[in-house]
Parts: sequence; C-alpha cells; structure tokens
Amino acid sequence: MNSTLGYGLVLTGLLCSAFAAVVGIVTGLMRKESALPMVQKAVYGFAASMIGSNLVMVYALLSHDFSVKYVAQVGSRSTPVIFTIVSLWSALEGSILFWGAIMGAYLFAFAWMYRKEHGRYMQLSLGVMAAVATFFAFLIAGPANPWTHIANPLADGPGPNPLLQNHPLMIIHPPMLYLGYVGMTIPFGIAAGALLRGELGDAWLVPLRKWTLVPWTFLTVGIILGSWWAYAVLGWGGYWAWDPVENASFMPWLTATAFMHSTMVLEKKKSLKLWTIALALASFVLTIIGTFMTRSGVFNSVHAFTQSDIGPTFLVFIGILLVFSVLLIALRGHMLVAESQLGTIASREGSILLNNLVFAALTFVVLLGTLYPLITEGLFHKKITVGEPYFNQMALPLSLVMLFLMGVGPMLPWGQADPKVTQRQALIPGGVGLAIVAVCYAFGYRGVMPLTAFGFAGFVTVVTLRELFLPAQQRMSEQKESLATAIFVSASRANRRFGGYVVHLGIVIVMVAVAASSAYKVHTTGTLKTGEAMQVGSYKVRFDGLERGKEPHREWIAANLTIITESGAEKQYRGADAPRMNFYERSTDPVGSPTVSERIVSDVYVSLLSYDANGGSASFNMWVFPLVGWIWYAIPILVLGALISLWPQRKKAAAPAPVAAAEAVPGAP
Amino acid sequence: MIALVLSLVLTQGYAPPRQGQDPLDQVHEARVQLLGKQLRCAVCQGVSIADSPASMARAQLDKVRELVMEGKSDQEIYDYFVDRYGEWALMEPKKSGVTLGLWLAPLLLLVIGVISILSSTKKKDPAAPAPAAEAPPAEDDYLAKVRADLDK
Repeated sequence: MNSTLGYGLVLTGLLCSAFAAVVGIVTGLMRKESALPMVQKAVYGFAASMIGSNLVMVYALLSHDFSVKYVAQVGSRSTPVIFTIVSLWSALEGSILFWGAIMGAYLFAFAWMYRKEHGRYMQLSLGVMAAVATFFAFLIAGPANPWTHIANPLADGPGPNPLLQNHPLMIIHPPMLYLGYVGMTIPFGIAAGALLRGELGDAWLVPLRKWTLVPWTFLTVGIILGSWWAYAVLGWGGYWAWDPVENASFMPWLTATAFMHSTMVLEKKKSLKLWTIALALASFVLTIIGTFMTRSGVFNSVHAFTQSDIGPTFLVFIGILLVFSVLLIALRGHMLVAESQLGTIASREGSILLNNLVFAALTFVVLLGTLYPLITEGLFHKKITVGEPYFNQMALPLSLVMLFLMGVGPMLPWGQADPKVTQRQALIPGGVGLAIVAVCYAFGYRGVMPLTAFGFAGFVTVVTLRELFLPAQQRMSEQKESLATAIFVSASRANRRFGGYVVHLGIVIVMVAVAASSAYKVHTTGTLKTGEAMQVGSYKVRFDGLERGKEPHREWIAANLTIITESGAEKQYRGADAPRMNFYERSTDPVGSPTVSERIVSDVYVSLLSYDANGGSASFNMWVFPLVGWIWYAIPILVLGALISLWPQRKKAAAPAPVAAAEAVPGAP
Repeated sequence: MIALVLSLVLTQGYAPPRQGQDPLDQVHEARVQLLGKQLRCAVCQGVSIADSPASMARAQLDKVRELVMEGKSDQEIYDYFVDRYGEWALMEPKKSGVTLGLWLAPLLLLVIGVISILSSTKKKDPAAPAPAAEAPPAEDDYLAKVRADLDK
C-alpha cells in the first residue's frame, strides 16, 4: 500500500518535472510567454508529489512497514523515533528521495516567489531547473528506487548505521549539506536562463544573487557542522582531513563565495558578466560532481555509501551538464558584453578580481588534488596519494592572501585609489595588526604563518568594524539618533553590505581559530597506570581505571579520567563520557570515541590508543587545541550575516530622501 | 537463535584484553608522530597512520617506532615504506615525475590569472584626478561623508 502510493507519487513527480522541462525550455526559446502558467503548475505538481512521497516514507518508517524495501533496509523497531525519522537520509535510496523533496521545496519557493515577475527569463530558468529535477526523479524511480515492494516482509529490520546514531550533529549535518547542494540548482537555472535568453539585465541579478546566498548559507553551516562531527566523534584529533567528500562540499562553497564577490563588480561596473555566470554554473556542476563522489563509491571514504549502481547514471548526467554549460558559454557568451572599463588594480574591483583569482586557484587545487590519484592510476597505472600535507601547503598561502584582501578590498574605492587616502585609512588597522603580532611575539608565540594570520586578522577586523559602525556613528552625530537606532537604521539601509561585513567577521574568527588550533596545539602520547597522571599543556590528566560497558549494539571499554586545570579544578569523565573503544559485532577493528573537554580558550581532547586490561594501564593520545571551538561558535555569526544580507529591501519608490541613496550602495561581499 | 548467539557474545565479551602498542619516550615519540603524519594508512581512506585508529595503522606506526629506535634517518624510513607499498604510501606527493604537475599546475594558473587581471585593469594614471572626482556616481554622498570623516 505504502509502496504503491509512494512510488506513484514519484512517477507523478517525474512526469510533472519532465513536462515542465520540455514546455519551459521550448516555449521559452520560442519566446511564447503565454505558456508560463502551465510550467508553473507542473513545477508545483512536482513539488507536491515529491514532498508527498517523502511524507509517505516517513509514515512507512514510523509504522515499521517492512514491506517497503528501504524500511526493511534501515528500519528497526528498537530504534528511537528521532533516529527513525533521521534514517530517511541514512542510506543511499532514502537520501536521494529526501533530495527530491528538497528540490521540490526549492523549486516551489522560487516559482511562487517570482510568479508575477521576470516573465522573460522565467520559463527558461524553470525549464532548466525542472530538467535537473527530472534527472533526480528518474534516479528515484529507477536506479535508486526505495519503494520496491517486498512480498514476504520480515518482522524487524537491522536499523540505521550505528555510526550515524552516535551524535546529535548527525541529525542536522546531512540536511544542511543537502539544502546547500540542491539549492545550487536555482542559481544554475537562473544563469542558464539568462544565457539561453542571451541577456542579463539588472533585475535578473537580484534573484541570482539571493538564491546563491541561500544555499551558500546552508553549505557553510553544513561544512562546519561536518567538521565538528569529525572532531567530536572520530577521535583522531582533527576536524578536516581533505577527504574527497569534504573537498566535494568545499569546492562549490569556494565558487559560490567567489560568485558573491564578482557579482558586485557586475552590478557596479557592468563587467565580468560571463565570468560571474560561469561561477554560478560551476557551483552547481561541482555540487553534482560532489554528489557523484559521495554516492558512487569511486572514492573510498567514510561518506561513501557502498554498493550503489547510480554511478554510471551520474556520470552521464555530469557529462551532459558539462557539455551544456560549455556550449551555453561558447554560443551565448558573446551576448553578455562588458559595458564599462575596470579601474586600476588598486581599486575595489581590482581587489575583487584578485579575490576571485585566489578562490578559483584554491578550487582548482582542491579539484586537482582530489582527482589526481584517479588520473595517474588511469593513465600511468601508478597509485599515488594526495594527502593533507599537499592541500595544507597549497591552501595556507592562498588563505592568507584571502584574509589580507578581506581587509584591503573594503578600504579601496571603485575606479582608482588615491594612494595618500589609502595610506591614511590603512594607518590604524595596519597599526592594530602589527600590535597584535608584537603582543603575540612577546607572549612567546612563534611561527611566520600563524603570526601573519593574526596580524591580518586584526587588520581586517578593524577595517570591517569601521565599515560597519561608521555609518551609524555618522547618523548619531547628524540625526541625533541613539546608538541602537543608528545601527539598526544604517544596517537596514544597506543590509547587503552590513550583512556581508558581519560574515567577514565570522570568517576572520574561523581563520584565527584554524590558525591557532593547528599551530599551537600541544600533543602528547603516553601510557598511564591507574592513578597516574600526565601533563598536557597546562592541564593534568589522571587515569582512574578502566570500565567496561554494554549497549544493545556494542560493547565498550572506557578509560575513566579526571582532567585537572592549572588552578586545581577537577572534572571527572566516567564510562560513556570517558574516552572509549567501541566494539561492534560487524567490525573487527574497534571504533574509538574521544573525550573533548570544551573550553572557551582551548579544548582538552583525549582519545584512548590502547589498553591492557590485565595490567590496568592505558595509552592515550592527548591534545590541547587553543581556540578550536571558535570554528563552530562562528556559525551563528555567519548565519546572522547571511540573514541580514537576505532580508528583503523595502521598495525604493517611497521617498527620494537623500539617505535612501544608501540603498544603492553595492557591496555585500 | 540470533538472540541466543548475541547473548553469548555479550556475556563472553568480544573486546580483547589488549589493544595496540605503547608509545615511546617523549622525544622519540614526537618524531614517530611527525613521520606517521607523512605515511598513509594502508586500510583507511586517505588518513595517515598517525591519525588512524585502525589496528593496521597502529601496527605500521609500531614499525616506525622500531625503525626510529634502530636509528634510521627519516629518508630511510620513508624509503622502507615506499619500497613495500609504492609511492602510494606517501601522504605528500613527490615534486618530481608524474606528480610534478600537481605542484606546478596551480602556480601556472596563478601566473596566468595575475597576467590576465593586470591586462584587463587600467594602467595607473599618475595624472588622474582624485578618486572623489573619478569615482562613479553610485559612490553616494552618504558613504563619501563617511570616508571624509575617516580622513580627518
């Protein structure tokens, strides 16, 4: 019953999206705008069927309907309700079905929001988006069908993958990434629509920008949550390993970030049109390549779902996308011509061009490093590894340049900078940066890279705060407004700009946290007998003996600990809270889980390396990571900035008051 | 039946009494960890043997400890692993042969990028008027005031 209904809805969705794609693109190219309502209705139909099919699946999971193949695969009567719902995306078929629902929601939101606007592009764009939706609906209906009916169902199932049940972050990390990935379909459709139409007006840029920022925000949150999960769960004392799947999510983030900057040059100078459009196309193509990496098993990775046959289908789709994108740019690109000349290199646009180059170079490094082992193996039958040391060596200098540009860019005017003015403006921020370096040095911190990062961070922070609050200060002195009112009004008058700078502050925090935690981490390993203690950084860790525990799906051995701070404060970690080795029946190797004692200035991180139950001793890996938590604590700031930028502007028509001109300020980075 | 087997397993305990090897003294262990960071765990997914909790990686790290205690140099230890597992065992690809492209291609891209940026932007014009005059009109007066304020 559930199978039939769910599968029927998938087929309905497939029909609707295929119809919307064909009608949208054909009538769009013929410029028959009268067909738009039909396309819109088909898009709504797709959204409704996909969301409906997902609801039926959730119902089937909750009611333990083991006659549905997917439920039989991941369901279990003993799994708690929340993880039963989460298991919707805990395996391949379910995650692609869930993908369909998100796609439906995005398409619906986009089509509905602009139902009466942008008629000239709408059919083409909706058509392209619907074509992407058709691919996913086809995947769900065919190669990755979760709805297969099982004639003689078992009474119970195995439950979802235990690794996914061990941390609450697993509940939100995947949907965030999906929202980021799927959302890139919208800017892709918008950009492809503009290219198919052969023009790109200012009005069409607004949805393009906004609908890139939405998935960008989800992608940012998803990536950071993923690194938090890796840090808190996997126990190797790191949060980022340049794993192919991490890389896959990082690449579209980089191109989308570059896009958000180049779009400012486009608006202001009517230049870089093709480049900006290409970035929007690339962000989407990279999400699909990323999904392929994650789901096909080409790369062995923690994330790869095993044994899937969707790989070939995906490869064909990637091929079509690449050919389509390249053809579009080659055939239609000349229609998007620059309407003005760019200024000198020492200008706002110059700094944004450099920023785009750095982002493009980093994307290229990540793509090259990820694919190179496949290339050498395929062409030269030589197996090589491109690991963390390569990526770090490449990414570090590029990131420092990015950080520097974050400070320089906002200081420079469009067109051409006056060296004297720039020098005067750079005086205070540069001074603060140097002072920070001097203070760090005086306190015994060494190292060119981290000190440069801290210095740049100080410089960027001062520049950014000045850009954020000077308009407010201006209002306070001129309009006699209170501080809060002034900040609120100036922020809402130029919300893109204000939000962009808030995001910059968040990124500075992340970069400082990354630099400090990797350069000044303290690492010790050692073996302790029960009752012995070991020093790690300024903390003392005492081993209080081993403890065994049993859970339905695993058995564990924990090394009970007490962490003692410099001032003598003790905190005990017992049993499930202590560093453990977990033994699952399915796996011969134990799976470790660390203890992370989170503090504002530094984390103490202990994982169990080995133990001797007879002798009562245990060996530990211990780290102190300064500031590492600030990578994840920056999430709210990043989200806040993005929300400020996304906040809808009031229509300008009202009053041509002089202050309203502030709205015209471009520049949410 | 399954329940029976499961209960047996659970009462017996399938956790071995001992897992892994003890680290060396501080100085040697620090070197072991640095070397371990550069060597790939054979059964894991692109993780170094210093980072991996897998028993295979632990065993390989023990081999590194052994070699360190024998007084082998870093290069000798890398060679030991490359001889057995090929270049694949190195986390950082060599800057020669097939993998040279990995290191050079991004540099090439940067050079091309910088050249094309310089050629698409205007040359500096020493006689150019002050930015306030040259700046496009959208540099609104609101912001101009802010900038003027900054210059005080």
